[in-house]
Amino acid sequence: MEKEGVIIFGGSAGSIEVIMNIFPFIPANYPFAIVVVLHRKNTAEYHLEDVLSRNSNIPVIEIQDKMQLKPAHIYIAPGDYHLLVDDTGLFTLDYSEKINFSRPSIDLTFECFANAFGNRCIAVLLSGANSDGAKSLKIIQDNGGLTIVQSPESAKVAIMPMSAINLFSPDVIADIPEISGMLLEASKYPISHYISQIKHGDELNNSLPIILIVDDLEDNLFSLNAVLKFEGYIIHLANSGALAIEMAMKQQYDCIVLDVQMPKMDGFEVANILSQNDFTKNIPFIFLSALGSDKEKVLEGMDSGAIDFLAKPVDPPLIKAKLKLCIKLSSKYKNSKILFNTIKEEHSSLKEVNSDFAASLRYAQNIQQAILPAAEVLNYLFKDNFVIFRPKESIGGDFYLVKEIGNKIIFICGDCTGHGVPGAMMTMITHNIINNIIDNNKKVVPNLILEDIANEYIKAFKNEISNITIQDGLELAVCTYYKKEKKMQYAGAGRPIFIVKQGIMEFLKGNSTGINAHISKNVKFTLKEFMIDEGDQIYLYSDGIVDQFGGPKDKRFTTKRFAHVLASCSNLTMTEQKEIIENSILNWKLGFDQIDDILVMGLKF
Amino acid sequence: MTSISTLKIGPSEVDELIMLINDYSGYDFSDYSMQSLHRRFQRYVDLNKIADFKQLLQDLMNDSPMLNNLIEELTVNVTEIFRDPSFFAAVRSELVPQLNKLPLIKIWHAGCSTGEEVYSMAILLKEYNLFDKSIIYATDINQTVLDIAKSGKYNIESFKENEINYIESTGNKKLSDYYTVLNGEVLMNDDLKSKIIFSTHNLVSDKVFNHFDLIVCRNVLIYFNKSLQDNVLQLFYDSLTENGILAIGSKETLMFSPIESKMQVVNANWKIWKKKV
Repeated sequence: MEKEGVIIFGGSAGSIEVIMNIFPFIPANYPFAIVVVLHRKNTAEYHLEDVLSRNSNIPVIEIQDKMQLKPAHIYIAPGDYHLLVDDTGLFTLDYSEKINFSRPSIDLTFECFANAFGNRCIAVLLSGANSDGAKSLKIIQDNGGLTIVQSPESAKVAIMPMSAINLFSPDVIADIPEISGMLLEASKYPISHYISQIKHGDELNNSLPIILIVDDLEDNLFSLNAVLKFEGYIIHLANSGALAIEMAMKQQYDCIVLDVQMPKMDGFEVANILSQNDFTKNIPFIFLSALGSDKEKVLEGMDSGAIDFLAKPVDPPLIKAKLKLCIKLSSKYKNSKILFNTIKEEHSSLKEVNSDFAASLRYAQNIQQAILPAAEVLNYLFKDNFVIFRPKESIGGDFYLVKEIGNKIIFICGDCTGHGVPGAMMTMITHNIINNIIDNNKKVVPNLILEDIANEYIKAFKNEISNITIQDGLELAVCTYYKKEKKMQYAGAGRPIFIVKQGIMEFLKGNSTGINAHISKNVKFTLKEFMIDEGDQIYLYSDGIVDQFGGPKDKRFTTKRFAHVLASCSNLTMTEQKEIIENSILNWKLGFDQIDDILVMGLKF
Repeated sequence: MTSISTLKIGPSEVDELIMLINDYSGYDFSDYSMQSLHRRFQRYVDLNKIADFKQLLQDLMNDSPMLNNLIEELTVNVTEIFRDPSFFAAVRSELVPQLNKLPLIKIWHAGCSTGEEVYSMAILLKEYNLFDKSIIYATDINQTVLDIAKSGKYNIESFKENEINYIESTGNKKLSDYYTVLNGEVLMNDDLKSKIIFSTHNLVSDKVFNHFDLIVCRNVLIYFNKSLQDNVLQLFYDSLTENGILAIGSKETLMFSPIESKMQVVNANWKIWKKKV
């Protein structure tokens, strides 16, 4: 099992709206798994996963016992169970005692992820009304994971984030847009790479941080300047609130240190004005005041969004430490802002391209379907039949063809390498070649048809002059049925078939390799002949079904399993068989993407 | 807050403890879910303030009551009367009509723990006049919890919530009709016990012992790994009568198990299944 990264959210009161704001930004091809553990009541009526999946591009699933974690899925921990995980990503539920009055316990799950995923784990602790998650968030950090705490100002209930911030220094404190930005940015790298990048502060811009210090007494300004100027900062000074605001509108500061008691405009007013302007509202600031010991004033300062409130006279090591935190915050904010703008632009231009593309793809789909025989033709030629045709994308590399020539029926199942647009173009070319061979060259015997196709392929795709050779090729099963003689002939290039004769199933293999431009000019195909009785059935198929990954152990469906399914239902009607085959492949690939075009034809005589 | 012990249980300690328990008691926990087991061992070590692992192994080998106590601590025994009220509502509306048709109703509560769910079922059967023709087998691996179950004595604290559960399970009487409060303890009515047989049974090693019309085993399989889950589900299947019903925990699944294709869904939300004929 390849080791993947995981993003894990913990939260309580006020956290659902946070994740509802983040999840719509997660793209369908997101490389990591996302796990959500919230304190919530377990009710049969309210399903969080249903609410969340409405706005999500990736599947949202409530975890069941022994479910396997996979990338590009959002997993919701069920209410009233503890959630455990091992290092293969296997979930286990547990109904043991509540921890800190909570089940699920965020601490328990975070600790499990810390042990199982180490530096491949990003944990986000959100709004909430108790201290669950703080202790284990530190364990995630200690084990090399990235710890993100929702900024207390942005949290509906700040107790949970504050408990973590009070306990240790989380790697990142961020509001909702910043968290979304980071999760998107993370998806561009291997997860451990991104985590170490953030932890070790490899910033996007290397310029020195700029700090503005505001105090009406110039002595204070100069003494602080003396303390901080050798710490690697560029320092600007201002001796009034009005001046500070003017300067802050021109220069993006990384932190503002504000005296509270100033004539005309005090520090709180300055902070208030700055917080209402888009350019300045995200600058972290620190209040400085002789009022530092006054509880009410401190609270007022915190209300206006200050990072901290320090008492005068300032303790130099303390303010240096606080500044470091501010700078970290500010640079994270800048990074995520730059990123966010880029993503926004990319997103809108992609959207335009996508809508043009989708329109032409729909049209291509119509063209491709036009070359496939209509259901009426099959119904007319065979006693009973079914066709399962499921391209991976709206168009694909699989095709089939049925032709009646005199008293003979020729039917072919083909699989061109590739899927999507290139696959579809190959099917159109191949379709033409085959029609030409049958209609104009009057070939009906399967091995001869295949040999002609091989030669046409060499002509079409091996360009000796320009030295460009198309690598793609195709696999085919070709059958010809002689109605009068009740005789069947088959030849294959990489595509075997199944026959059920009088209830007994047989697997018929032709040549094992397909046709491509490198094939030898004198290639010969083996012809097989057999008699057909009424009620006999033939199955042609592309490799999409047997190669499909899925099942409990992420394995291929395999020809063996396909044979079992066919054998189990071959005595039923073709419509019933179709349903059973479709269901068994759907069940098999549960949670996996379809990896290739799937084509299965069943024909009854 | 849980106290922080100096001894940290890791995967190798878990392995050693499993081996020791198997050697000295015959109980095989090797197919239990490692994650849950790890937590149970850590909990035991924390609660008993054990600091030295070697000493712990030594003590367990020399002190069989201590070993038994550890084994009992390994199984999770958290349960309550009418837990998941809507499950019991589903039993009332969807299973009772079928049970009604039977001349004799045989029920197995596998992993019954301290018995609250068994009494819930007994109460429910009583309310539909099915109790007299029922026999309920209630089994668990752990003798101590079975003794509690048999006594029918519970802490009064937990019964406030239980009364609400009962009402939500669409019960039409009062839960307190079914118990007496004596000396600060809840005592389940004696007649509820008259049709219940309590007995030890180890799902890991014991085999089919009877056939049942209904098997209830909720939130027990989660403590097992996939292969043990498969074995136990097969055991349940083999213990079901024709048309027999199996109820597992709502977050447990029959998917990918050997019996999945042989069972049909009765209630998908509450994972109630019926043996296909």
